[in-house]
Amino acid sequence: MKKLLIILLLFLFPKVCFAALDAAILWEIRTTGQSSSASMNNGGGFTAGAAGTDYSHASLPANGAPILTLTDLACLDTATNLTSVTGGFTEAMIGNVIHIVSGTQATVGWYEITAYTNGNTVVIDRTCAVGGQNMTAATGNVGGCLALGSALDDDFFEALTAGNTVYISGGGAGNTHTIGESISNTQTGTAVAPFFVDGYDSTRGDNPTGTDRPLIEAGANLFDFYRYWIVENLRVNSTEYDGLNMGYYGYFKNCYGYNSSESAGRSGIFAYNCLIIDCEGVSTNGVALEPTGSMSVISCYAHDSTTGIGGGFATTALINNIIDTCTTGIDVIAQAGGVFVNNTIYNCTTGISGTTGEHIRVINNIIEGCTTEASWDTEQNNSYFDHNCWGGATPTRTNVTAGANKVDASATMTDPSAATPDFTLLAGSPCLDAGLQFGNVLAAGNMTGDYKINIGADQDDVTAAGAGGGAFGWFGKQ
Amino acid sequence: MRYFWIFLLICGVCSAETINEKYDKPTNVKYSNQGFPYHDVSFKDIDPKEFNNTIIRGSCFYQEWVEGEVAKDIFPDGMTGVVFDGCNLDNIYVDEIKNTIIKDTITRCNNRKIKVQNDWEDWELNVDLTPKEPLNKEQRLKAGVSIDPKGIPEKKFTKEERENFEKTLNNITAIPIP
Repeated sequence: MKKLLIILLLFLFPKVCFAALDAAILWEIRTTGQSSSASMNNGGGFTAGAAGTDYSHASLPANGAPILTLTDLACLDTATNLTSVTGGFTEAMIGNVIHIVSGTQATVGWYEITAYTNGNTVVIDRTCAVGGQNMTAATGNVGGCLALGSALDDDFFEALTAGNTVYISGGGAGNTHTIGESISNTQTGTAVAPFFVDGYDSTRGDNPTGTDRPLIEAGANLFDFYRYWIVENLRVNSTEYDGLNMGYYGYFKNCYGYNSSESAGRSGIFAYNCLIIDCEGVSTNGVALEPTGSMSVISCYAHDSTTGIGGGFATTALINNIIDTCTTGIDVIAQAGGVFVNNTIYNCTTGISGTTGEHIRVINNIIEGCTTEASWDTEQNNSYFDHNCWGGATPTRTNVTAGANKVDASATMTDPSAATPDFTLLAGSPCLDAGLQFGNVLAAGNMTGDYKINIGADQDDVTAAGAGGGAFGWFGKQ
Repeated sequence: MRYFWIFLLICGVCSAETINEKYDKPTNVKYSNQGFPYHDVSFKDIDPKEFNNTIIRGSCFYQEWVEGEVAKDIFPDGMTGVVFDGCNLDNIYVDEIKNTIIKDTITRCNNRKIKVQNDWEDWELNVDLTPKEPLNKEQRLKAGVSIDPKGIPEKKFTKEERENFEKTLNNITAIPIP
């Protein structure tokens, strides 16, 4: 009998100790301006589809406070029953997160309530007692929303399970999220279950733009995501070296990274082996967007920085970006096999600068209003430059062969130097339909059709009069 | 007697007193949950009455280190009775005889001195302004990079040295160099 019990215990042990927060948990971060009792001490999460009531968002009290706080919680290290003599648990709490914030022999952290036994007992996803000890006199908060600005900011992101979504609420004045420490998590998601960080304005999923996106004030702190993270709809201010940072297999979308440091070389958005899409970057004394490794930067706006897009990157694709008013538009460092297509580079001292980069493909780009349009240290005879508009009759191209289909004339954009610039092409622009086409392929006769591509980021066909496509961008200059 | 102390302890824990209740002050809506530029911000010309005897929550007043200034004095002279809660006050001077900076709770303020060192990294400073620890401590530990101030180079990293350091910091092991 004793052996049977031991076997049963061994069977149960991993379940008690190694369970984890549900992948479907949705977390809610607000400011104390939105919900005065928002705090990292709160539960802050609810499992999507769970049987209970969401006390962190849908049924969150107006002040963001927990729905229940208990100070006499107890838990065995060999069990997942969480008990309280005071009690107050309800069936509606299933799926909510309880944050154990202190207690004797407590492993503080966030736990999911997975089942309801009675008013004095619920089941949580794993034991919250220190190994080999029993927890007593612990304080825990059920529900309520979270607020950044504490010594738990990094701990929270470290506590997440792959697949979790963190919603960050509220744009506009008075809704700034000030982080309390560098957030540099080591969490790795998967291709099937990445982590999501999603900023919203008033309703989850409303995909805000401009200043309606939540603003993260990082100060000198780092806001760093590790592997398989998807981060959308945020603005992040920082002076840290790589203030807004991601490594491997994720992407930033609709984010604005602003680095105002007076130290050189710092970046607005830094990412390695990731995608930066539909984002905006500024680094007053550094690199607006710094892709490193096998990266893609697509439909982004890099401006008013020392370098627009630059980094020690390889096989990087820069597609459909606008780079405006930088000392160097694109800085090609240690780059092999990069593809730069349909970008508009305007008002830079040097449009594209190559030092150690080789076999680069530069096609369909506008490089205009620059002192030097393109400059490489050595001749680039195996690189491919063609169908680029060089902005004027006498561009400066050093060690670059521009190609037979170059356009040595102004692109005639609508108003590229305005406070809110407009980089669209005017009627009559030499860039209309002047991009690389399927010429020789069509001539072979095995396919047919009328395929037209403009040079630069604007692909409108500008019918009739004036510029088409409206003012630049999805969200305008910040 | 033992039960009396337990009773007092439970009462204290259960009270869940808010910051507003504890300090009996209203939240300063105008200056709470705000961000300000990280350079050259000054409220010196603002009437201190806008600040006095209020709680300012969740705002970022941080200013980047300025050589020759130990901490930037940005708040109006005569500001008194202000409680800062969850604010970033790094490199900022606050008269703590007249005002309160909450530092000892989970939701707390930062009021560190931070300066970029020769490794191009931000380090928190000790009282004697020597480097204490890097702000990206977790990132460095993750990458196996020392957080010991003794590891800070005597001369400022060159651009190339910094790029190599950054690769290590970001676990970048191999980039094809042509």
